[in-house]
Amino acid sequence: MIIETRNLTKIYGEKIGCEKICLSVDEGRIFGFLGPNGAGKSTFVKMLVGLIKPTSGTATLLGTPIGDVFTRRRVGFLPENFRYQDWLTGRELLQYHAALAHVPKEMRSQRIGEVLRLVKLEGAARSKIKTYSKGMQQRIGIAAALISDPDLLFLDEPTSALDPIGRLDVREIIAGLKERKKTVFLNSHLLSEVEMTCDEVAIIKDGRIIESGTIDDLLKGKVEVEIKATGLNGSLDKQISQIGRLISDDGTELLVELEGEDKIPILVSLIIRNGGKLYNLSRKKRTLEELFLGVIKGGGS
Amino acid sequence: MLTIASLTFKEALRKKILLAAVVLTLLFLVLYGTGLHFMANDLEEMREHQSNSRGGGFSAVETELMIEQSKRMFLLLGIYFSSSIVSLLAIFSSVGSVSAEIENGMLHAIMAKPIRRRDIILGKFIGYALMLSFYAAILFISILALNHYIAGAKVPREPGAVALFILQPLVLLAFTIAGSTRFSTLANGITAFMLYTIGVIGGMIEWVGVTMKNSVLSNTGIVTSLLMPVDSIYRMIVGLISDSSGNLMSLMGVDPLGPFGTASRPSIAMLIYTFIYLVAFIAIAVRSFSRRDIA
Repeated sequence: MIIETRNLTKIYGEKIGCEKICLSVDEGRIFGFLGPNGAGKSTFVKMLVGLIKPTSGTATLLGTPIGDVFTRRRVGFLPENFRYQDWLTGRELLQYHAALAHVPKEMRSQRIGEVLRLVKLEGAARSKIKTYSKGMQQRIGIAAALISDPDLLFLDEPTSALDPIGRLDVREIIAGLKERKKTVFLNSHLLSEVEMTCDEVAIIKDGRIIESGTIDDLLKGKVEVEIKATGLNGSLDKQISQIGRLISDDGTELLVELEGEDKIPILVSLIIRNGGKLYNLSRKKRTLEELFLGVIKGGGS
Repeated sequence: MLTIASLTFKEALRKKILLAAVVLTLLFLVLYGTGLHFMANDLEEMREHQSNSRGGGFSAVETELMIEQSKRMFLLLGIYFSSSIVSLLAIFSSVGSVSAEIENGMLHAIMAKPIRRRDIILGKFIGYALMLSFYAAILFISILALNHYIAGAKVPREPGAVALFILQPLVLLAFTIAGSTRFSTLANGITAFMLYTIGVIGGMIEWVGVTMKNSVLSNTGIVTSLLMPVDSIYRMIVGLISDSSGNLMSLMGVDPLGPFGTASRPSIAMLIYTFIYLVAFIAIAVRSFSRRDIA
């Protein structure tokens, strides 16, 4: 496992930062960590990268306990509230981070060129960071996190200051890292971004994980279908209740929730057997946003 | 550690902290040099007046003694004000060295890199210490040079005095960085400045106590010196300069500078205590920062 935590807990006085977090992230996975503001996402990441000391519990990164300085050579981190030495140029900042990350001197120039190209800031490398827009500062932050070509990358809200094109670029960077078997731990509020990018997610609320799994598994489960049909008789309602429930019915258009996608052919045969003429059946895809809002508002499982 | 030290030094240069200090210091040196120039002219007139007068007034020896004493006083005043300048520069340049970088999030990305927390503190200390040592040495030598070339004063060749002059900002630097690991920038600035001021006032109280043979006042001064030994270092410098000049009035036990001079010279034990104080506050800074959550 690249990341493994067992009952990782941080308590600030009487306030819970994170409580008994148990997570495992395998090599080459893109892991999304979701939760409302103040849920404990950043606290959790800060514990893993060594900024905050856990109150209790254990965790390992790349097989070694958190806090190991040597292991941090293989870890990159983009903080949420990033701010860099704005009196440096972009290239100077990357030289500084390369030196801190122990990138060999003879490789620094080449590596800086690579990450500048990756975040599309080659043209601004000689400008001072104080002249950068917020989006450019976020890009240079991503470049600084990637400077040591880390095996594990923590990105805390990496697209918050970026425009849609910038977000697409970050998605491409993450996809490129995945191709190279790198592991990415992504904290984000942008659910659509997470849904498009991540293999697995965990949802945290009030310091506790309330849902986790692969995106496919989490979005499985109950299925909603919209039906357009005529000639349906009254007994259909009772038969549908055996495979799901009728949410709405205005005579020709029905919205049905089924217990699983294997019930769709059964529903079609029920309509036909009841003398109905089926004109359209479309499956409503459940989104991560619906799942997220459901577990956050509903208190989770 | 050296990467952090180098960046800290560069920061002082690039953010024009050193430039601002140098420009204002030049202004101070111009004002001081102007004062020296007019004082030297007045002293020369006094000497000519004495040699032209026959009988009455001061004797030639008395006049030379007064001239020598005035030059000495101006030299020590220059060192006193320079000590204040370099001390305040030490406090204000490093007051937010850790706290401000935590407050604005600048340290977050650095601390996730493979670097020990102690190396961050030591690197910052070394970076600022290099800048302050360089500045303090130049300032001290400038004061001596002005006194030598403008007033024709005999300036002491005391490497120990230069070393002690450099030690002053380093003590304040260690104290301020330690405070910066625990307190907010504003609270730390107020604390460091107040303690420095208490140290200076304590030194004057000690002078009064020794002069008036009042043990309560002298002990109060000693306690403040233990809390903040920078003023004691200044009085060691004054003692060294008085020794090396063979100044008659100093040798006779008359303190030409009053409470800015030294009635009771700090001992070697005080110097050792000052070194321990400096190292202890660096250790406190490292320990405090290593235990702190960077939220």
